Amino acid sequence: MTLFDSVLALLIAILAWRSVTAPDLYRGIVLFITLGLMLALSWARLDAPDLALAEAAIGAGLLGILLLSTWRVLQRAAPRQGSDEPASYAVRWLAVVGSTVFGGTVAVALYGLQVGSDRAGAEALASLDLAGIDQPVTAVLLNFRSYDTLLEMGVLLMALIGALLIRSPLAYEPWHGDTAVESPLMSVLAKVFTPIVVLVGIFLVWAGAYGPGGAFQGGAVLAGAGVLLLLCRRLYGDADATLLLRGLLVLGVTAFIVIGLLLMPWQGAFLAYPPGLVYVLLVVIEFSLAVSIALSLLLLFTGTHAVRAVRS
Amino acid sequence: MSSIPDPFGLAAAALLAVGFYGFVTHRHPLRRLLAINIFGNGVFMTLILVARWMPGGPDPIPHAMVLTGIVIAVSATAFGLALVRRSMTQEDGDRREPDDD
Amino acid sequence: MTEHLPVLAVFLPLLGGVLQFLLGSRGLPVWPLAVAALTVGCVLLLVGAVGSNGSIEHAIGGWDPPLGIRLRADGLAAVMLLLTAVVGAAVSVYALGPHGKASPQATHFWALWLLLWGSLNALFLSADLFNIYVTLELVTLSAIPLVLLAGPGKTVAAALRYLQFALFGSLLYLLGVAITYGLAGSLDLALVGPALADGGLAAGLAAGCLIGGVLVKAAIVPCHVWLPPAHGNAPAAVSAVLSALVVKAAVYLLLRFWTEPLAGLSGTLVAQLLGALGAAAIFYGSIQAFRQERLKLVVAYSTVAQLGYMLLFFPLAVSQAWDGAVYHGLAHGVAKASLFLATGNVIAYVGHDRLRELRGLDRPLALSVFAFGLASVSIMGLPPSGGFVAKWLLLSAAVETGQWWWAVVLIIGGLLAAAYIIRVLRYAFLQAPGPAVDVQGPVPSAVMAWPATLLGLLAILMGFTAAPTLALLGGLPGATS
Repeated sequence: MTLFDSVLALLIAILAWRSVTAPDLYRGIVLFITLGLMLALSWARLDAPDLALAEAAIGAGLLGILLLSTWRVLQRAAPRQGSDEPASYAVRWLAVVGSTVFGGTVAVALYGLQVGSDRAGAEALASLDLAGIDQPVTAVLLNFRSYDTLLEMGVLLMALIGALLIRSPLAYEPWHGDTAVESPLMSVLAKVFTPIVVLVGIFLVWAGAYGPGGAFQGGAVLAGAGVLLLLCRRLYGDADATLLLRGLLVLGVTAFIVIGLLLMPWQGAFLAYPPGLVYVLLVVIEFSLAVSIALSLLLLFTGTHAVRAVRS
Repeated sequence: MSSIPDPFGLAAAALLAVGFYGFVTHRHPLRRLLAINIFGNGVFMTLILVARWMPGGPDPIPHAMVLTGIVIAVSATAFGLALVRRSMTQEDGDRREPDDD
Repeated sequence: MTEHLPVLAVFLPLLGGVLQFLLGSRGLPVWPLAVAALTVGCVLLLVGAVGSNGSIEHAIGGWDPPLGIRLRADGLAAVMLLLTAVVGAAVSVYALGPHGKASPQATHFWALWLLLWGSLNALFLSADLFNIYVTLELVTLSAIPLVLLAGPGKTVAAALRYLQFALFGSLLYLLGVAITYGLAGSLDLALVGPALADGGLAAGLAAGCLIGGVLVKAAIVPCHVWLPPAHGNAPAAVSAVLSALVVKAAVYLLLRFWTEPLAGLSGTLVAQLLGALGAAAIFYGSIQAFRQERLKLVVAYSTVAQLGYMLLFFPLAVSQAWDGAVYHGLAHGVAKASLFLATGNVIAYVGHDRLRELRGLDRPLALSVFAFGLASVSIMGLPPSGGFVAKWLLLSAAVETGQWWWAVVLIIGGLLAAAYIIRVLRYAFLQAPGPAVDVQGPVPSAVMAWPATLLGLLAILMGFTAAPTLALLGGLPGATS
């Protein structure tokens, strides 16, 4: 299978190069999405099915649609893409030399890396039965290094606040009366496909405790279901957020912090859980995270304060 | 134990080099964001390789780092795309807006 | 209880900010002020505990490194937390002026500001390389939306540039973290040192990426291009925080890494190179500050210059240089916050900050002008200010180590600072008084004038508080003393 891997690695390098140097921005984006899918494939080959799932759902899927939608907005606003002129010849050659030296150094360093056998990861695998969750990556994310995950939810929230402040929504208007483009396919997508996607998302969150999956992948798939409904015009972006909606947005980070702080006096450490309750608490936290992630990603996609269902 | 020769090490280096090249040479903000994401993918690939080179199974800690990194990269990029939309669609609307709330 | 204080210092403001977002404009401005007060109280308790008992550690989740992440409040973290609390308190009071009334904008300001405060505290307390990456992103992604609060129309280009550089910088840093983990099998600052000191190519690359990524975030020349437009266009309270704390956090990381994980790598060539970057920042930033036509940009370029002084620690690397570099960071933070708040008052009153059209401000804006003057004394490094003590320590270190060229840099830097500051003072206050101000806003209220003044006074007072502060800092890590 080394031949397959080599071809895949070569393809990744070529796709990256073509994506960056494509004369046409649209083609650059499409190549970038293809690159994301190839990366997902290669990560599955590199014993990282969780990450392959995440890259396919978040990195290529959601980000891909977002890039294409943004490209369309730009096309409508400024079709000539005024500032897209390439750098001067000298700068480009200098950059070629610089990045070749940089990439070469990284390659030589990676292949010469003497990996130590004494690693935190080995300790994580050995302590799995204390973590309350069997799946190693989920155990790291929700227990051993849960502090990173908690702060990362803060990053997600802040990026969302930032995007809302700019007020440049992607899909703002409700699609009432716009029946000309209503096709039977959309109705099938919305009625049949979306529930399946939602189920897959929930399953992925649940599965995170045992196998590949988890709050992030599941949340991204749930957000994908929302995006599907947006594209089928069953949902639309709205300017007014209810308290409930904002509550769901911050549910993950708040549950994490509040549970951690409440248990701190008893457990002696922040984000430490009593052995009997650890599994229940982690499942509660994981589902709260998934809800917040799904909603945050969806609103990052629309760029609006809320989404609402279209009533027909 | 030392590392295993693996074609994906070269792919990681290529992603990093290409991302760096794109970041330096492009002025268009959307293209820069693409380049930054390609660079980021190179970093993630590096982490995955580091995880794989652990005796006794893939190391879950770099895997968790990649997941965290992907979510951060995507949320920051989504924010960046909102900025791009705003900055490139307001060329004419710039002056009509004396004071944003 | 004391071992829980680091957690509270992070999560009081963080949870406060999240709840502010949830509540919308309800509870303004009482809720954020209460959270700010609690945070200041918590930090003061923590700093007091560090001062009397030494470092405080908290292993999160009860998992000790290398498996888990540890919070650590040592001397360096304590003085940075203290600076953040002082500037944060002043900015919180000042912000009652522009952001005191309930509005969507005020909601966003307070939510983001409390989140930024918590993020900064998290960064200073973190003792884990990857966790530092997450906190760096937290700081960046709360800082950039704050810049946008000045009105997306004006600031969107600056914010976009800021975001691009910040993202690239942190990914470069993350590459360093990845290789470091490969080498060391750990992410804890105290455990990765030996692996990074082995002198191989991978170790060198990891160190280079860690340093390079942080340099981009710290806006050190030639990666400074994003700073002036962002700091020069943000709302006054935000500019104060960005210049005094946010870029400082990145330089703090350099000092932290150099003395702990990279201590074995302190090759003289890299150290001299970092010093040269510092000197370049001092000269370039000062000259640019002298050439600006807008008051706020003068102050912003002054930040580019002043950050350079902290880099002079690396070639000097003796305990006096350590004290001097850290104290410079503290003194600059206080003085620069005062300058930006005072500038904000000028803009609130005059409606613009074009230097040539500022005249006769000393009467209506007496307090703010006084603040500007006091803070300037520290920026120029004149006695008896905090800036003077810091530069004196750096100068002594240059003499002690026989590296006279850094002493020359320090002296020229001081003269350049005097030049750009005196230019401002001449335009704004010393020219013939005349009714040059066309559109006059209301005179800034006491709530907006006093925080700037108190910070200015503190910048001077810091000339006398060096001894207890440096005792809290606790000397150069690893030095035998």
